[in-house]
Amino acid sequence: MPRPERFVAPVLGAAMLLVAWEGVAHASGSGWVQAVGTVVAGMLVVGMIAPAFVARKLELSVVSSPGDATSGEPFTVTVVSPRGLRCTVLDPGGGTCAASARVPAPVTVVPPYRGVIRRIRLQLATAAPFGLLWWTVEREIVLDRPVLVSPRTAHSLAPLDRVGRSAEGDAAPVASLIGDTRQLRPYRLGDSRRQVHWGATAHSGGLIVRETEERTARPVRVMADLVGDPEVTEREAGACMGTVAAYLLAGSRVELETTEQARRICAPVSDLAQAGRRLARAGTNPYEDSTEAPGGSLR
Amino acid sequence: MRTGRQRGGFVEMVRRANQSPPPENSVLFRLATLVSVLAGVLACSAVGEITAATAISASSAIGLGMLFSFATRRRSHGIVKIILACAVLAVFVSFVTQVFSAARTGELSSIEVPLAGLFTWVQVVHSFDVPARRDLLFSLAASAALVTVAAAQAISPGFALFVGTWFVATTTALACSWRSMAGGRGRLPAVRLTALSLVVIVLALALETLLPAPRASQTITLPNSVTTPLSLPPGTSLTEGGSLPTEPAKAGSPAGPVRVGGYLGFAGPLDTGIRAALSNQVVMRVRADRPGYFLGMTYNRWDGQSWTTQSHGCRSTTLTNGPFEVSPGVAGGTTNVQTFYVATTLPNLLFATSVPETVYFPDKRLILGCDGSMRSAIAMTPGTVYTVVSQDNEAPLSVLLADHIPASSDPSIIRQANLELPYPYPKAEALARSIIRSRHATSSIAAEVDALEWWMSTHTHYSTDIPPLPRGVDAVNSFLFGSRVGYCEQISTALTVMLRSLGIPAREAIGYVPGSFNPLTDLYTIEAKDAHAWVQVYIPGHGWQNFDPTANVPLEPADPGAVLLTDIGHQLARLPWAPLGSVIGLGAAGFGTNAWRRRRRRMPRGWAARAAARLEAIGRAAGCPRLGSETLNEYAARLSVRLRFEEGAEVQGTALLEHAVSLIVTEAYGCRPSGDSSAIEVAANLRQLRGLLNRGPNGALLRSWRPGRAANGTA
Repeated sequence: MPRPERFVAPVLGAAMLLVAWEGVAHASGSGWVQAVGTVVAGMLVVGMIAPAFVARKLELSVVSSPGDATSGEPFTVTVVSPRGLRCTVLDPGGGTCAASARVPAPVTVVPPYRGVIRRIRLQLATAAPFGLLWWTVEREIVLDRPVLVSPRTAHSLAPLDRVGRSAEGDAAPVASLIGDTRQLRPYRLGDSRRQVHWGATAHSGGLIVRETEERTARPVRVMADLVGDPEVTEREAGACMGTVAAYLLAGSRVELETTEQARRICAPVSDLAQAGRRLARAGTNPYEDSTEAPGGSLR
Repeated sequence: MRTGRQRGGFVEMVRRANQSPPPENSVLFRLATLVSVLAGVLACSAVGEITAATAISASSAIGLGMLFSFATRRRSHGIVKIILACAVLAVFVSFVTQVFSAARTGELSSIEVPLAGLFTWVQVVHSFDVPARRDLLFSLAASAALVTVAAAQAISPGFALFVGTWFVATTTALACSWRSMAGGRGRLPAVRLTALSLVVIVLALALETLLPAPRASQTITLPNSVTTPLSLPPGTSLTEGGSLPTEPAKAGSPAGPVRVGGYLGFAGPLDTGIRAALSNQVVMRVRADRPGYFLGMTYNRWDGQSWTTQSHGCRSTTLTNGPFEVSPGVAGGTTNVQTFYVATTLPNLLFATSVPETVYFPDKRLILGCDGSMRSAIAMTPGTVYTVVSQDNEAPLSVLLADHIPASSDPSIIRQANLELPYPYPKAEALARSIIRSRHATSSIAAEVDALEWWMSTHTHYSTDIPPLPRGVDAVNSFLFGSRVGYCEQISTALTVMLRSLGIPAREAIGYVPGSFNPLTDLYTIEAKDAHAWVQVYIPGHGWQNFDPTANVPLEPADPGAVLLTDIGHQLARLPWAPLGSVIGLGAAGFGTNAWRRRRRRMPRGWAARAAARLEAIGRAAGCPRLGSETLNEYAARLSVRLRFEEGAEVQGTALLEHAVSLIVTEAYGCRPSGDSSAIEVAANLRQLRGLLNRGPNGALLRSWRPGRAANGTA
């Protein structure tokens, strides 16, 4: 049901203007003043009521939306409407934009929490045809694809000294094509020519190759159980993100264990974007109703 | 703490109000605003509130200012603002000076002229600084003020031209303003705007019919002014009017129309034997609380063919320094404020319903005749405005009939002056007595007059097409015992003579009856053909009462709403509906045919285009219309995400969609036509696709979004 954005002041103002107009008409005894006043009254009435009828028919379609976003940072959804309107994002929050008829317009959305945004609740407003009074309606649009909102990267919860050491790891080094030089040995069939140690070859007279080894590190497993109050889970998701970032920066392999759509998923993450998407999907989605028990933990 | 916050808020508010808003780029918006402002300026000029030279210079300056504003809309010009502020200050000081030097107490008109000047020059100054939408809207509001100030002085129906122009321009400007608010792109919806304008006009007409007609407030203003004051030569009693504003009146001549609109009656003698053709020339416009007989003068001496005025020793009085108290202390009547706007040069008579009490006339002198007629000492030129406050003594006939006051109680002077006949009228007297006897109307004077009036209305015929009366023939006998065909002068004269023969004081009155009522201006338009003669009968206790055996003059104020509706009805009925209907029918048929042909031309050719259109229709119905920039493949990709299939049919639906689109694209852009089998396949696919889509309870496709549904998990 359309509602006027501001009602009392414009209506009272218009009424006072018309009463004053009629007063002048009667004081001067001029019929033309009254005639002009009735025309102005007609324009005011149409200008103030017609937007209600237009607002009832307001529609909006999504043209494009991004796949990823970060909580607290704006992203843009492009929308198009058959009528000119003003659009304000109500849920999950964002900016206001004016959209001309049939011209794609960018709507700025600022998600407060990590999660998956599938639909956006908007306040559409119109003052057509004369721009005298805004009437608003609320509409919900479904995005053409869900926006995965990753949490903001907060401070890591892992002890920093452990982060550095864990990168070294305690496991025995294994032979690999890259890494530190383990030993030199004579060439065997199948060795890569890139491994040939030309200095030693020249010195020994036979073809000598370099053998390398790599230290293996056990992957760090970060477990995120993000269920419950959005504020709490947002903080925890941020910390989780910070931890993953710290380990990834230190060169560790990271495995992220999350609950997504009631399934426990444990999978390695190679970069922050991947971690962000996983955390966006994890646990309770603050942008949808949840029946899961409150509370959350990060292990 | 609280005060600090408030101050901060106010400062912030002022700062925000002075921030430069984004520049307005719409040329149409500026043009419409310019036209709206110019309509206001020219309207003020048309009603004489500003001179033509001022209007031309102001209009040119406003045009230049708008051009300057448009060219510099993106620049911040502080110096220009300072100069403009000084100019506005100067204009305002000039206005205050004019008001204090020219304002007359209680007269609104003395303020309206400086006010119109103020508004005009403020518009001129403002037009140099209208970079943004907000400024243009201010110009629009100021143009409304200009038109209103002009409307306060407007009396002509031609003012509708200015109001109409202003309305169209303002509506367009407001629509442009809304377009600017909504992003500033796209075309104006001309058809929708026209329809809304019609709604506004209908609403305005409805309001106009509901609102009471405005009446001039005596406490604020009683208009009186003169545009060209021409003093009359000394000793001039009554002037000719017409093309000779200061010439003394001469007797009417049968040679042709010599006076205003062809009426020869004013200025006397009133010769009933001659008549000139009366024209439709507008002589006056009158705003009156109540319509009535606007009396100019009366005649009391009858010579058998002409009426003249005999003073019987009475001398006219000259009143000085207005407002003129014509009949001080007269009471018992209904106050009737009448403002007369003279449209053409008239005799120097002032008209009013009887009994005039106070006259507001733009001269220092007013001459009061013995019969109560009022004459000015200046010529009554076009543009002269005067107001008369009358105490209407028109008593209803029922009241007059109930009074049984004998005729003998009349004051002798009235009996002496208004009973004289040039010779006895035995046949007329016998006829009058027989009428009264037959009607049993002997109880009162009013009853006798009423009986004679009835006889006149039933036994005489009104016609202006009568032959001139030969010299020496008595007009009354010729009329009563001859053809009994005549017009107001013959009929009223016959009644007067019959009454005098019965000993009842009566006299011939001439003036104007209210013409047509204009519900927009709330003015009665009096034309030359509204000149009229009627009878005044002296009834003791009630004074001179009007009796009109010829016309039925409305004595109640006109209802503007009813008149407006009647006028509209008459105008519509007057339209030539048969040819108009044919033209409208032909036009509609042509329009329909053209629309059908255009639609056919737009209809897709080839099965691929038709199938694409069908797919777009499915998408539209599902709330996902195709964008102009999308290829069919892109659209199909979007549709596959947005369409809401039935439970478990998503994969099949998407496959059908992709297959159909690939066939359409191959047909449209492939080198070889794929044949009819593809067309049948695509049609089947689309049919099947439509069947797989989720439907609401009413059978309509569920749109990809809908308020309320998504929250329930059905989105």
